[in-house]
Amino acid sequence: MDTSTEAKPRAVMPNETVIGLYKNCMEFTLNSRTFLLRTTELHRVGINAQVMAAQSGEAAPVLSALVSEIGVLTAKISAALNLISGSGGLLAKNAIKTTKTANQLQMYYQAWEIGLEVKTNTLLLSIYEKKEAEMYSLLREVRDQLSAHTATLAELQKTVIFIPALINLINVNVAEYPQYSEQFRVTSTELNDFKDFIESSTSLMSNRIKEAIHLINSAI
Amino acid sequence: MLKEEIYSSENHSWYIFCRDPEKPENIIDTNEYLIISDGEGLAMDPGGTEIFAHVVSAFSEVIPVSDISTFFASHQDPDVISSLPLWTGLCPKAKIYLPWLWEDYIAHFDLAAVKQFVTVPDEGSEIRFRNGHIIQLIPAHYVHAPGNYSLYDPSAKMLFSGDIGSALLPNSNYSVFVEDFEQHISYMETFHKRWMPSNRAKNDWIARVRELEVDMLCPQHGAIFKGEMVGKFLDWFEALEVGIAIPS
Repeated sequence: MDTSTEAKPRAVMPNETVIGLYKNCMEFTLNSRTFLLRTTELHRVGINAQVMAAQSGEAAPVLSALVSEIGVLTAKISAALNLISGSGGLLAKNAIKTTKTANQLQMYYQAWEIGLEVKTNTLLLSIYEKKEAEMYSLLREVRDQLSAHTATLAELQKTVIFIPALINLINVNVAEYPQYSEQFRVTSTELNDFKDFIESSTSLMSNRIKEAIHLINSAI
Repeated sequence: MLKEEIYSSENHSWYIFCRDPEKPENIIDTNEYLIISDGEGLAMDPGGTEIFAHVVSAFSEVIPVSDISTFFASHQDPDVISSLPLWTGLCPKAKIYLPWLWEDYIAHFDLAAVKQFVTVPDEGSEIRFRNGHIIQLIPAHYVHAPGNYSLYDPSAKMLFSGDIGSALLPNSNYSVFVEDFEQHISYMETFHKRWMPSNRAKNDWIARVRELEVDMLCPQHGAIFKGEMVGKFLDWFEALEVGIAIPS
């Protein structure tokens, strides 16, 4: 069909970009939620230590110190995670919105390729331009959100350095209070597991951010 | 996509768009219909997302899409109306007539379009063109959807029947109109027996339609019944036992 117009819509983002961006944003959001759940386990470690402290008599001051250190660690991690998961919902929503708009643009582009009568063609091009601008503004918003999370993740990674010190504190006391050795062992194992979890999760989430930002930059 | 003007008077036309050769496999073939009355368009069951590009291109051959003022969804199925957000994107002022029962369901296709919805009550209603031409929305509940309507154009004597009269055709070269009724039964019998759940509802719809003057009965799938074929279809459908999925 002769559309009698030179105007041409800009080709829409490739499907792989749309899907890749969606996947990274959603996985990042899900990772942050898993992280938050795991932090409640750290709370539990703190509570276990508190119970031990209450029952222990002579070991109480040491265990109270341990409880306090775990509390500080948990607070630091929770604060960082709250920042991430607070905007996680918005990030997921924006990722879904971007995917929907990109799909809509793909359909309009396909219609334009098939051919449209002049008036409809002009209408479609103006709607296309408007929706495309909305989508790119949304992409920039997503990129800003992701960039902000980079700093937060770096903060989370820093908290890891406190864990070996805490485990050392525990190990020192195992010799002094052998009657609590099993409880100390469990606590230090849980802390160690949590350290591994923080390291692997922050690395995974950082990679998601890098990949998503790369996709956005290549699309804009 | 095949485009054919199936009714025409001085200022009033009906078009069918069908047999899309570009249609992806595994997607049920659909017919889209468009009434143009003094340059104002009314689109019936505008179709699913996957075929939107071809439908909008074909529609634009007969009317600028911005002049489509009304969309009608006979029921909620995705092959009927999942393209909604794509249409409302282009026609943000158009009215979308749909069964009241499906309002919250169709909103899943396009939440932003809710402000354009005009819900049709159980007893049916009318659509009025700017030139005063009136279209009737006839209840067709439970044939097949529990909230379902046919669209009747009294002056043109045309009936858009949605899924009623539908046939799953063997190929895209099949005629737009039913030519050999006996042969056509083989393409629509299983569909009607399975998709139509209620003999009582079916017969209620047939009784309503028998009171109308219908020159063409236009289904959403398959071929159009024209002239004497309309009566043949109604007789055949009346005798058909439907809702057969439950073993007796």
